Amino acid sequence: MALLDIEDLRVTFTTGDGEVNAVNGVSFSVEEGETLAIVGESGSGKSQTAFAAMGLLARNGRATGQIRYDGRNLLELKQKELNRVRSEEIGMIFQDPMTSLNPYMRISEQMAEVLTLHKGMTKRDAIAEATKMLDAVKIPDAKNRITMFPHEFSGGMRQRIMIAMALLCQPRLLIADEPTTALDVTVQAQIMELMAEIRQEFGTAIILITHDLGIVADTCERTLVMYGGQIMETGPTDTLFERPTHPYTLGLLRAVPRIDRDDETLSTIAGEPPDMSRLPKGCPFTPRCAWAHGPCPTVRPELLPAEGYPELRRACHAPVEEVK
Amino acid sequence: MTDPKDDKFTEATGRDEAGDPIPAAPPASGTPVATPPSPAPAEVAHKDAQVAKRAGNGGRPDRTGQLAAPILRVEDLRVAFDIRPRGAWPWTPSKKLHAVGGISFDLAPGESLGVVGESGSGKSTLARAIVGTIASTGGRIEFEGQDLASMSERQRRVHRKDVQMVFQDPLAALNPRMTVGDIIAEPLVTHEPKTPRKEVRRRVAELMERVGLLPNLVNRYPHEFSGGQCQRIGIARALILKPKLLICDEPVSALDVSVQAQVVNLLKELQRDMGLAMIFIAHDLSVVKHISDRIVVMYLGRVMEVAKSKALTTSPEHPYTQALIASVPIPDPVLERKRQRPVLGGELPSPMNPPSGCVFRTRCPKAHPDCAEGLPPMLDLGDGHRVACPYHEEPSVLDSARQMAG
Repeated sequence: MALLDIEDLRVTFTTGDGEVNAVNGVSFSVEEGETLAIVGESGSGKSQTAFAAMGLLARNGRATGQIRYDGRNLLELKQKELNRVRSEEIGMIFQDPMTSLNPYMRISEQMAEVLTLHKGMTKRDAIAEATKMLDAVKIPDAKNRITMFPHEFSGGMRQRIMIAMALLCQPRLLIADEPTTALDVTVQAQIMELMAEIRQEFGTAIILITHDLGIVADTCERTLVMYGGQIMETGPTDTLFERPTHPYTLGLLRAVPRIDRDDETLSTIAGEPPDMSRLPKGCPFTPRCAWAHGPCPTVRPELLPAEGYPELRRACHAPVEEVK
Repeated sequence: MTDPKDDKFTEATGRDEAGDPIPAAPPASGTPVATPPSPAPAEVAHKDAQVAKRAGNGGRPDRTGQLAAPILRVEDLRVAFDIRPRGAWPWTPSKKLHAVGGISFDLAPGESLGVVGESGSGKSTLARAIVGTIASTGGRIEFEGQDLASMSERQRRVHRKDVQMVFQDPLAALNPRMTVGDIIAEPLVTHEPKTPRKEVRRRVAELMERVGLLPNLVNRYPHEFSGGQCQRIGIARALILKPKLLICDEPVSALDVSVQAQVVNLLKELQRDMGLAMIFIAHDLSVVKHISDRIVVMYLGRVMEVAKSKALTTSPEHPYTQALIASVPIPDPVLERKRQRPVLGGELPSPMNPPSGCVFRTRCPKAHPDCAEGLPPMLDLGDGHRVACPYHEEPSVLDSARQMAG
């Protein structure tokens, strides 16, 4: 059985302008020890999918469907049970480490709190354990620096602290929401290397949510491409990058400027990311798609194995050969 | 907010050029908006494009600046900020933070110069010093032969017209209470107040069309536009005075990948068509590479390496440039696995007390004891390639940086 199994997840926000469907029927699963990338642009619903799983939706948001973790539906759990799951079983790290750490608390206290609360450790043991974890994420001089405040660390160091904190209870699943977006490339490389090491050492399954196709290529076994709150295409990272069969995946891969190539003009996807409150009934990518035809604007394509590429599943009405 | 105009625009910039690598024909029923080619024809078309470019280059002035007199010459530019430690007495002297520590470069008319560096490298400060929103504390900024740095505010205002800027956060850079038309017209109305209203309107409409916005959106407000469209407004505003130099400070970092490519193509096209000199600042080397003729690599307020784009990305000489290139992920799993990616350890040192000698030595895989002594000299390797590292000839620790260029 899969570690996390999401079925027909829908997330709706009630706003002044009416209902906004951020996630529209998303289904996927994550196996024990696996790394899965969720890729998409802003508004694709990639973060809201994770927030729904963690019970962190904004107050005007509502999630329906099933999010099964280890057999239990997280959407139906009581607050107390959910608290236990999301501390001990699932860890999460966020894009901006400064806003996710409490600026008024020393690192030692923030980290010890997790352990005293969930593992019933004494504060002394908890701090010793936290120090060990900071060592594991390669914070130099962890023993002394643990008593410092978040603002005394650089962005990269803060992200390391966040990772250490998420790992304190040895979760089986780590959700990383754009963990390196706010960091410089050289620091990004450090953090990604650290995540790979952690995965090897602790066997943690990782969901990496990002817009950066580059870091996905390097780190994740499986990739899921989202657009307009729906899954466009999913499959093993190697196949997906080498032979994308969905017009959006293809367009996205071509739009990324690459340091190892010198194209005179970058290929673009015309238009802008979709307005989530006014999605077409059918495929959300229709207005920007070169292959859009008859059923596209009205009939929602199902996520099916692509003809000739059984390891890829894609939601598209256009024939694979034509897109290729 | 997808408007049809946008699509039309992308078609014009993205695909109409001779040899543009997008040959595939979409199915007859679909609207041809973005037609990504299959891999094989792309390669071929790409080579064609290069050939076409070389052939068509004859009429234009030399873009490397070897012949034309530079439009901008920056010499030993320094910017220092006074920092008061918190709780210091009013009479304790403040400390100096050297954000830009002696930078020199030339920029030819019509040339585009990329500036890359991580946060804290001083690249934005450099831009602001050239525009004049931050006072420089030393050195010269010669624009068309006249030193801007030593001018009075009044004298300098005349030149403001010729040097315009595009900012990072497109929405924050636009006044939310002004209409798009007013925003774009503002520089013109300020600098040339005698322009008749009709003429202003005409130029605004013309420019909106040029940057891919429907001119009938002129009375809308910035919040009604998406990020990419806001950046187009920002670009139109910067261009209305027909500047000679455009400075773009991280113009695409806040945009989505698919929109980023549109804006990069637009800037590149405008730069070429209007003969603009451009300084393009970004932390993303792969974007900078696509838009620049030459690239300057900065670290902690100093220049590490300068070279033509191609040379810098395929045969970087400075250990920092090599590390930077190795850190840039490539969206190709097979290539990524083959590539060795030695990770640069540590972080940018505090600019309040930078390392002695070479500022990069604390993180440099090749550092020698004498790197701590004096500033490394800027070595000229020919063809405009300059590097501030005396040990650049030693075998690279980061061979992968070279390999992947293939």
